[in-house]
Amino acid sequence: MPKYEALFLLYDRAGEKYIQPGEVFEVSDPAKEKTLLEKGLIKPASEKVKAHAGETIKAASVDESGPKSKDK
Amino acid sequence: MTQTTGGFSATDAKIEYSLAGSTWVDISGFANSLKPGALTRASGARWTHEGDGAILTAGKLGTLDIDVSIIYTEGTGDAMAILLTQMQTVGGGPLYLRWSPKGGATGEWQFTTSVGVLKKLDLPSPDAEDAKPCAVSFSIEVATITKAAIT
Repeated sequence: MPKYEALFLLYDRAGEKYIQPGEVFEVSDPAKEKTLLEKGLIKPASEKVKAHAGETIKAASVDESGPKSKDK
Repeated sequence: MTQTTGGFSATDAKIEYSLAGSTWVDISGFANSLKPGALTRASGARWTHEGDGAILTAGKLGTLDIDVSIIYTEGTGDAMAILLTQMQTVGGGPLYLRWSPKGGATGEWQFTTSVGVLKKLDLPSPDAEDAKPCAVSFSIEVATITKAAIT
């Protein structure tokens, strides 16, 4: 489903919740998608935003083997 | 300047109420009119000996009264019964309102109140000379209104 960024405060009546400006959400209904785009209420989410919304950010690899002894 | 083509009559508005701000009941088939008061903001002025004009500062947003007229009906779950219960609840039963002037389709605006205090509820007033459906009105006072576009 295409992802869009809210440009204004929106209200999802089906889910009874607000969508804040800047929030990325999916629009499943093509007619709804067309209307919201025409009225300038949403814009396609940028790649950068998409990545933040959809990707799991992996923690940097951590060496858990404990402190290394240093030979002097 | 070109004339707007976005004007419309608000005769097919959607009006809903909620007792908790989460589950909404559509009363568009009961509501006859909804008249929100104006948004206001307090202001203050003081004058100094130097200069002629005031030093004017802005204060907080004012509360807002909303008057709603509904058709009087006697069903147990009808608007009149619910409003009467909220009015007579000790401490005042909560009431939220939201309305969409154009009807509530995708892309249209919706105004939602914060929790309101039901301050006035008319009782039915029979009139032998009035052929129109019996109607009553109520007024709630709210602190804030949130405007959002419907998705």
